[in-house]
Amino acid sequence: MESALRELAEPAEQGLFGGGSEMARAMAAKDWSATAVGSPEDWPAALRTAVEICLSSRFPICMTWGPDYTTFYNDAYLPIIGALRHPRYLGGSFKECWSEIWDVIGPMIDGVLATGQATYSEDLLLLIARSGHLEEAYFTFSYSPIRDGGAVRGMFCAVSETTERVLGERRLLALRELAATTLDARDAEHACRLSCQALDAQAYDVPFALAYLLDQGGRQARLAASSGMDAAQPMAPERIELGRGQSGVWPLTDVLASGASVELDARRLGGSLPGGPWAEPPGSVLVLPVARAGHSLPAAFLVAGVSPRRALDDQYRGFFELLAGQLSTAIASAEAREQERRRAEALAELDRAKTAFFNNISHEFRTPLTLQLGPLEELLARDAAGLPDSARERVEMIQRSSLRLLKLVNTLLDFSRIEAGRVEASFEATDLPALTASLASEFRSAVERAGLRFEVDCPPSAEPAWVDRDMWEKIVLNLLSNALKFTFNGGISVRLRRRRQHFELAVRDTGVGIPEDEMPRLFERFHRVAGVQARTFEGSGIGLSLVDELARLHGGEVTVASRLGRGSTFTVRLPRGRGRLPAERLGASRGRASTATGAKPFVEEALRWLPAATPTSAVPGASPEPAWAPRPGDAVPASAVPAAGPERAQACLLLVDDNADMRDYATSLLSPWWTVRTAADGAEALEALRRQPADLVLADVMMPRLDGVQLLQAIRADPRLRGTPVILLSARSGEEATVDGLQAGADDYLIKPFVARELVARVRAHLELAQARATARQELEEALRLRNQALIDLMHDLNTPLTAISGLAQLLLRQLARGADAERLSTLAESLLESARRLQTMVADLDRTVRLDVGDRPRLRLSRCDLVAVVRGEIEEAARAGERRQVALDGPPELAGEWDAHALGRVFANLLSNAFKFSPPGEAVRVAVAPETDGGSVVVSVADRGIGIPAADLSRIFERYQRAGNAQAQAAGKGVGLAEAFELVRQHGGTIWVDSQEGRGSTFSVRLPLEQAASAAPA
Amino acid sequence: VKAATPLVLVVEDDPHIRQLITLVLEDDGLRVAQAKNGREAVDQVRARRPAAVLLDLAMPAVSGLDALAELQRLDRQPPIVICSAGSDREVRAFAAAAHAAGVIRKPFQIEELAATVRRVLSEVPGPVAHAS
Repeated sequence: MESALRELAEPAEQGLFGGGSEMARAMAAKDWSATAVGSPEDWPAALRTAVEICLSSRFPICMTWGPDYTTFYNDAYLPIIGALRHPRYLGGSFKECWSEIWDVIGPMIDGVLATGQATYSEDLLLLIARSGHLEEAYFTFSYSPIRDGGAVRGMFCAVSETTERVLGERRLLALRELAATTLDARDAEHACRLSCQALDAQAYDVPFALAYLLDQGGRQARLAASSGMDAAQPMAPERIELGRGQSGVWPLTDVLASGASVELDARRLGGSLPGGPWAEPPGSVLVLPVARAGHSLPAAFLVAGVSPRRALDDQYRGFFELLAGQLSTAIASAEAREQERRRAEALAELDRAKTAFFNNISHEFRTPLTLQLGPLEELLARDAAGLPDSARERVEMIQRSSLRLLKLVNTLLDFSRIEAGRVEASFEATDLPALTASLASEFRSAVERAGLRFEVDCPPSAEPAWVDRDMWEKIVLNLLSNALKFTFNGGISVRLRRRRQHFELAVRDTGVGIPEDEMPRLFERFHRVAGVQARTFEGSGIGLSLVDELARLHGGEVTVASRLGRGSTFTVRLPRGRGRLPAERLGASRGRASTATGAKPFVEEALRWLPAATPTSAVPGASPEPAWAPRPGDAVPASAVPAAGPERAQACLLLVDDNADMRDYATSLLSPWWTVRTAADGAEALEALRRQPADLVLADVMMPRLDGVQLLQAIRADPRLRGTPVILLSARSGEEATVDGLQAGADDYLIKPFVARELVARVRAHLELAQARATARQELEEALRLRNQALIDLMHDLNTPLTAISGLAQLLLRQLARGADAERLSTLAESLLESARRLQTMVADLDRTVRLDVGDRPRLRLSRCDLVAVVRGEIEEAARAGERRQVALDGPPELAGEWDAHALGRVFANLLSNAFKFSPPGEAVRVAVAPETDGGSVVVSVADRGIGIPAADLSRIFERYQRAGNAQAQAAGKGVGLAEAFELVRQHGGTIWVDSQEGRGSTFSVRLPLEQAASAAPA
Repeated sequence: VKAATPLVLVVEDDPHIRQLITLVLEDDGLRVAQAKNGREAVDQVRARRPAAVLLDLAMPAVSGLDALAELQRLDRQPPIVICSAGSDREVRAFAAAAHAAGVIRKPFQIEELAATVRRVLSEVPGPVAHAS
């Protein structure tokens, strides 16, 4: 209102201060006469024009005029000048207005006024005090001259504040720096240190920072790193205890409790705090939790000073939160890396330990093996003649196995040496063709016995090759052994050539070849090609791997070319000359024991894969015939196995193992007790079983063609073999292997090496178990047969009255049609009715039988009744039903007790009917009711002079569907009457039994208690 | 015109069936002799020389098959009609083994029973080699 009045009062200035902006009004209201520029009407045109431009612009503009720097500015400039200086400095001195930065801008403005040259400043830091305190602010501006006539009289400034953008970019950069620096943090503390180092460069925003790591329990925080503040200051204590009642310098307990950051007023803190690049200390301090992902407890706390030159606005606070977040990430990844490193270290340590262990154990093995082999060789060489055949065979078996073990141990030792970098090769100038040919020739007999061609082509070379002879021996022997293992037809060739740069050894076979996808892993240690046909499944998967290592040690390489089903060629190339070999190993002496074994173990092993002692005409590719004949049981001392006679000598076992020595050994253990057949692999075993099943199968798990588990599955899938007990043998130890085997359906699982006694005991146990199972199955079948027979009998029994009913009805109809007399018709009707009643009785019997079968027994309905009356009633009933036989009843006139009269009636009806059925018409049946002298029970007996019951059937006479085995008994009844009687008597707490002699008669007796105890009648 | 009414021996252990068959055959104008088991049957055949025998194959004491064997050992063997409740295959197997002249399955139609016996009687004298 006031300004409106002024506008009315001074319409003359309407044009200059027009536009209606706040500053226009302020300028219009200003008493300019009191200023250095005087009243507007006296202003020069240049000033008036400049003011008009200033006021009409939406861009922040300020300007000065004259030597006193009289100040003008527009609406957009208001936030820059600040509320404290507006409107005070409108028309006042620009120099006074910006006194705190005049040292920076004064010279610039004076320069413009003096020279007329405009300036341009971009993102210039100006520490201004527009809010009463110094503040970090950035501006981009240009000072340009305002000319009046020829002279520069004023300065015109277009300015924009870029503080937010500059700070935003700087903070973003700070965060990136922080992330980049902490990438390599080794652990949480290191992450804190690196973070604080990065923050050193960010002192404008973070004058000081303290990183406190929280311990696992959340009880104590430890100063891990600091920035902008020396450690060991009162405000940077080494440790801060947390928890209720703990009040350290920094309120970490509160932050821990709330999980949120806390802002502290620095003036209330006791100590002095560094302000970093700023002259004054921070006005406030933030304490932020540094979260740990997935945990409720933070990993650390960040205590950070807030710049005294910046207000803690949302952006600034957000920056601190992001800092804490970055620190959190840095700590988390450092810890993850630390764990990873520890794991890697642990693995490496484990690997070193394993290598050392291999090394030690290999040495440990070698000593006893050597001691074992020496005397064996001596024994065979010198004393062989004095040994009995069986003993010599055994000794040879031991020798073979020991050689094999030695070879394996040596290979392991080689590996551990390579691994530990302790191979001590000794490269010597060698006649390689001669050495190679001589090694290959050792294999000739084995290859030819396998029915394969063997070609060795090693033409002489004038130039020696530099090789370690032991290593070359292993290369050649391993490749030959491998070729023989996988070749069933055709041949093997060994070729050595001198090429331009290499000596080249090619071992070529026409074997099964290598699947394409196996090629990359072929030379990997312990890798074994799965699912191809081989002469044996034995092997550790290290032969080719060793060849590879040894070739490399020569500066050479091994490669393979193969086609599935066609064969493989392994090529070893060694560089010619000695240029690539380490000089100190040329002709060096060997420091360590040689691990070379010569060809013997390789050849011996290979011979064992071949059909046993067959002549050289063995058919290529044919699997060896199983040794059908059991070996004479010459081996096992009686004490070695549980004492039990060869009671099941007729039982036949099938032993399946690809190791011939193992077959021979197990056969010698088992053959004293059982007939033992053998097979060399699963496929052969299955074929043998299909020709002639065995009582038990004992199978190795690892075998070529069809392994033990596959054999087991095949046996279980074959209806004829399904029930055969299978015991798996395996060298794979450990619970897991056992569980695998049993899950696959094996009856038992034995771990090699096994003890003779255990093997025999397990086989015996499973044979007995199988026998027991077979018996149980027979019993079940017998029970089923009985039941079916009972059903057939029942149908026959039902058929008889049905036949009568049907026939009589037809007859009745015919007679009716002929108009027969009433007497004849009623006779037929009576007969018909009679047959219907018989049918009814049978159905009722059947009903009871079925109920008895399914366990649905009627509860007894006990009441006081007269037993003698019950018995007499049944005798009379039988007579009514047409029974003409005489029944003698002997006993007291009456005998009262607590019974179910109806149920007892059934018992005696059954016993009487039984007696009538099995005794001749002329013979009387005698029934006696005799109270026991103890007064607590009574015995009722029903005696006949019938055919009697064979002694063999007596024990089962009360079982359902059981009928005595003699002819007459077979023809009568359904075999349920006695079972029903037995059940009903049992429910009364009584007993029933029979005395019988075949051909003389039977007496069935029932003892019943007079009173029923509460528990006497189980439902 | 027949010289005499033919005599048929009914061998059946169940008194009701025995009675029924007797009634049916008598109603058809035949004479009937009865036997409860194989032993009685052999005695009756020896004593009364029936023109045909109707034999139940499942009887106690001496089974129907035993009776059959005994009857076949007789010098002059009357034609035998087998009466049985066994399965069709069973009965036909027995019939073939016994050189039975006819077969009746229980339960039977009385017309069929009478007709079968009549047919067998018309084929007398001599045993029939094979039952159809």
